[in-house]
Order: sequence, then structure tokens, then C-alpha cells
Amino acid sequence: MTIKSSHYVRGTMKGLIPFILCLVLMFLTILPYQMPFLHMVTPSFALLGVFYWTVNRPDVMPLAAVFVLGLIPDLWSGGPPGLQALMLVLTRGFLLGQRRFIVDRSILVGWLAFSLVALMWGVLIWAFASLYLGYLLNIIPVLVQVLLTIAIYPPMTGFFGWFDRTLIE
Amino acid sequence: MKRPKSKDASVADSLRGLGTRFALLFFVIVTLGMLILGKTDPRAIENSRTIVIDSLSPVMAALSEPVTAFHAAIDWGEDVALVFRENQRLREENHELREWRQLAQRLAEDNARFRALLKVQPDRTLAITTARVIADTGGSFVRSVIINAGRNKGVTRGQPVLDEMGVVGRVVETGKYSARVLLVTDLNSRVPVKISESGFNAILAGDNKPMAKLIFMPVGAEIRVGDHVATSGHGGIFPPDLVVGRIASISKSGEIRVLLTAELGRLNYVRLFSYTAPPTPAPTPETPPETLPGSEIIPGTATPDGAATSAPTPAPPALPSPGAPNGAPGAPNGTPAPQATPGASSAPPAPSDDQPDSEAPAPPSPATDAPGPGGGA
Repeated sequence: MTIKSSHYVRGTMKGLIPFILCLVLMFLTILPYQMPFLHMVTPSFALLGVFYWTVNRPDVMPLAAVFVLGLIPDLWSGGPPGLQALMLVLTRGFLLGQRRFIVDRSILVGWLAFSLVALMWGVLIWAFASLYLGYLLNIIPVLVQVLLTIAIYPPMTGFFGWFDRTLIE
Repeated sequence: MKRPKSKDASVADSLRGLGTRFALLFFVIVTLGMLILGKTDPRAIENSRTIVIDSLSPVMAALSEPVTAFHAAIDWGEDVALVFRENQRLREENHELREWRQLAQRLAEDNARFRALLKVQPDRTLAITTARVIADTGGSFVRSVIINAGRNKGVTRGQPVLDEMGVVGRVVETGKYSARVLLVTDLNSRVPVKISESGFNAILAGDNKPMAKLIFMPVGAEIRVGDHVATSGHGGIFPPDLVVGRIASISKSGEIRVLLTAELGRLNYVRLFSYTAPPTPAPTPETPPETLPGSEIIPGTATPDGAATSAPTPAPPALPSPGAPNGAPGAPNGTPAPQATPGASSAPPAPSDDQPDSEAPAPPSPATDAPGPGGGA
């Protein structure tokens, strides 16, 4: 293998790590833990991953990967097909334009920014799903999921950051 | 001093930005297209779902094994710790069950005799397979699970699913190696049920809450908290007399909530059934009505098909007209949302192989009990 091709392969592998990481976390949320009400309190690791990597390392979280991260739960959950993919793609587009205000800032700034993004994401998903299904859905489960996702932002940022420093950089 | 960007670098940046915007637009159009396709051609999306689930099911099955093993270890530990107390409890239960067995045998003999006298066609229910739940894919809007049995084990769409306690739901999508089960608590689920104590028929409707609710109860029906709810067999999808749950609460507004017997939050192994409803006998008005020995016909109570009744039967549930916005029933354990669109109360029912033979339910209505934002969870 030439130096150029090995560099390309290494770059591709590094680019897959965030995607695979988010995918594994999403898998872990759908395992049958046999705990009642757990489905109401699972956070959105896809949103966390897309936010972190788009703000800090957009080169390793391309749009196609974001699309797939949203499409897979759309298909396995039985919900409106393409809804989460649409929301994540739009989130990435929005973050790319705003990342200069968030990147290299303190974790509190990042947390605040994520909270705003997550709340917008939750409300939009609820509104789109209600429109798609034709009746007003209960917003409480969505809000619970959003609040939980916001709550675990700091430890997940550290987790993703460790992967970034250790495996990618 | 900052070096100005070269012309080539500026052009490259512009092109890159343009490419990013086009890529974003492309994926937005693709996702919107999928949403539209989900409404117009749900089968296409369903096929995509089953392909994805089939390809992911080996991973999910492998990842769920440690969870199952962990729970088995916990159960084993509990059994060991409580062995003496459990032994005593089982002895007492065994003694009680022996008495129930004798009673059940006598009742079964009486049942068989009455069925023969009334020429009742037997239900054809076969337990086809047992499957393990490998993923709980429900989210904020959907309550469903994935099981590790598909067409390779004879699973087909529409089959009822039970755990050891009661009704869990029904199969709505099948892949080759896996299938999706829509739980009875899902907001698209509708199951024809009856109150065992009074015989009144109703529909068990899910709304994504832990306890499903009863809708289309007859006006003035006397029901109490604690009454047993079982499947009625109407619609030919669920066999009759399957345990569903008990009435847990009746609110002042008349909302009836049912505490399900099945433990939907702790599903592990489930059983799937293949059920064929007995054919409806053709009406024979010339044939003299048959009566049970010892009973007599009360004048004016013979039904149009000639079968006599020895006691008045409860009135069937008053189904509202198709145009009623708040009362049109959904198909029994209705198809997922894209196929049975609520809100289109005046639209014809979505074509589906789940439609019952004997009833033509009107199109589903909006979830009338869905609270406004911030309302009861």
C-alpha cells in the first residue's frame, strides 16, 4: 500500500469512528432492558453526536452520515419515515452556520447552545409528527427526552472528546 | 500582516460552500420525499423498514443476549434467596390449583356438550411460535418491539402476540428473520374487547400511555373498577376470550382506563398465534329455532337468524356514523399511522388486509382524548 492510499484509508477510518460511535449508542438505547417506562427516558444520542461533531469536527461528521443516523431510527421505530433524518440534517446545516460562536468556548456556553438547539429540535419534531399523523400528539414524552438529553450533555461531551483526542487526532 | 487569500482559494471556498448548500438541499428533498412516500405508498416504506430491521436484527439479537442473561441471573439469585418461602407458597398454590383443575374439567365437559348442542363452530387457533424480544424500538410516538422471528418461522402480518400473562399486540411488519409487533398501548392500536362480567363490547384503544383506554362503550353500560377485560373475537383478528386486563379507573368524564395484564415494559419471550375465525352460518329463517333443554323461548326475542335467546342479551355498542369526527372506530388493532390516517374522518377506510370480515369500521378519528400541550401524560 502506498503512503497516499494508507493515509486515505486511515482518514476514512477516522471519519467512520464518530458515526459508528453514535450508532452503537443508539443501539444501546433500544435493547430490551425489561424496565418499565425506560422508553420514556432514553436520550437522543444521535442529536448529541451530531451537535458535538458538527461544532468541533465537522470534517468527520459529513452530511451523509447525519442522514443515515436519523434514517435508521426512523425505520426501526415505525414512526414517520424520514422525520428524524430531516431534523438532524437541518440541525447540522444550522450548526455549520453558527459554530463559530460555539467552538472553542467554555462548556457552559456549549451547554446553553445545545439546550437551545435541543429544545428547538424537540418542538419541531413534535409539530411535524403531529402534522404528519393528523392530530395533536402529547408533547410531554418529547420534552422529557429533550430535558434528559440536555442533562447528559456534559458527560457525553467528555466522552466524545476522549474519542476525538485518542482515536481521531 | 495577513496575506490576502489567493483568487483560487476564494473560488475553492465558494465552490465548497455551494456544494454544502446543494448537499443540504438534496438531503432535505430526499427526507421530505420519504415523508410523502410514507403517506402515499406505505408499503414501499414498510419494505424498507423490514430490510433494515432484518439486517440489524442479528446485531440486536447479539447485543440483547447479555441483557437477557443478566436478568436471568437476577431471577436465579432471587429464587435462591427466597427458596423456602417460595416452596411454601407453591405448595399452597398447588393445593388450590388441584381444586380448580377438577372444576375446570367439569366446566370443559359442560362446555363441549353445549357447543355440540348449539352446533358452535370451534375456533381455529394455533400457537405457531415463540419468539424473543430483541429490541424495544418505541419512542415518543410509537410503541412497538422487534422480535427474532419472521417469515422463516411462519410469522405473518396481523398475527396476535401474547406473553404468559395476556395480550401484547399484533404483528404489523414481517421480515425474513424478524418482525415488528405493535403494542396495544400504541396510539394506532385498536382491539375489540368485551367486559367479562357484563358482556358489553368495546374497543381497547392505545394512546401511548401505560394504560390503554376503552372507547365506544354502550351508553349506560354498568361497569366497575376491577371488571375483567378480554378480547371479544370481533373482527376475526384476535381469538375471543384472551386476557387483556382489568378496569383500573373510571374518570368523571367517563374515560375508562385498563390496567393490562401483560407486562409490556418487561417483555422477554412472546407467543404468536395463527387464528382463523369460524365462518358465520347463513341465516335460515324457515328452520325452527333450537332451544337448550330446560329453557323456553320468550316471545318477541327470537333473532332474525332464527336462533332463539332464552334471555335478553346486552345491546351491541352503538357505533357512530362514519362522519362523526369523534367517534368513528379504527380498524381492530389498527394499522400504523401512515396507513390509517386519523383526522380524515370522512375519507374511506385505508385498504388493508386487517379489515374484519363482519364489520366495516368507519375510518379512524383523531385521538379524541389526546390532551393539549402540557396535558395529562
